[in-house]
Amino acid sequence: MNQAKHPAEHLFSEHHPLTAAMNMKFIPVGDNSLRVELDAPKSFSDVSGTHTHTGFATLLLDTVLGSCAIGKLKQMQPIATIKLTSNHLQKAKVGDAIYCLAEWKGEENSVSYVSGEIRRQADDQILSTATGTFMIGTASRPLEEKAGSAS
Amino acid sequence: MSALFQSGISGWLAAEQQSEPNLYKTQFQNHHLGNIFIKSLHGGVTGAMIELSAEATTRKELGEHADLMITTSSVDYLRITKDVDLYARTSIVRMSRRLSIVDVTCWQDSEDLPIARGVVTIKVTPAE
Repeated sequence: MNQAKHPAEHLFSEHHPLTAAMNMKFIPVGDNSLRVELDAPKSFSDVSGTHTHTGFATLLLDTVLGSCAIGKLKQMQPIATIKLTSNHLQKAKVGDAIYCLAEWKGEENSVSYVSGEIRRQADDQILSTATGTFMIGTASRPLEEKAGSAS
Repeated sequence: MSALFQSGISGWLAAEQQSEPNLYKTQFQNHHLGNIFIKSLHGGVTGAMIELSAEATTRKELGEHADLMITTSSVDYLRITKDVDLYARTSIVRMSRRLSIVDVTCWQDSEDLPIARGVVTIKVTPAE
């Protein structure tokens, strides 16, 4: 049986340029959480060449926390990051299997609140944590309208 | 060229140091898009550039081989972005024996219209 796709997967489909770089696997967890699994990519290595730069963790956290917020939308519409605070405990080793788990905390006044963390799959060691706030809806038209009008 | 700007993430960001001190640029690439319908930059691209710029500025002060670990970054997103180059200007707020705290402001069209600002805390161990 095919599991239903997480709504964010429609945005980060194989056509999305970021997906090609990160090869993310989306796994919904319950109503409020999203787990994304991937291997730490060489293309985001730091000066050592052996570990990913913390900027990669920030990029992944923004992606997954934002995706988790998208998963709670009643109507598909654009969201925008308002603020993201990331703590980096360790860098991921290039090639290591990691996952990012995000948990939606709530929505008030069109602002969605999400927290999350990146862990190494082998031993569940925390690599980075983050909290993010996302504005629901923008001055732009809903995504469905844009997708429908795109040629 | 600094080793940092030859790293994998620097290549992915298409980041480069400008001739003006503490000024950095990300040349727009299609894979920097977050929302492909409104063609805005991914917030994480801006966040990653803020961290990279803060690290570059700290390395310039402490030397290429300083042992650095970015411990925290906090980014406020101020305006909607578009599919053009991104600039970042850094300013060291405080450099102690163990920490470097760096403010970073990002813009696209005009420095007077910043699209994001961040503060990055870096644990530093100067090179021997």
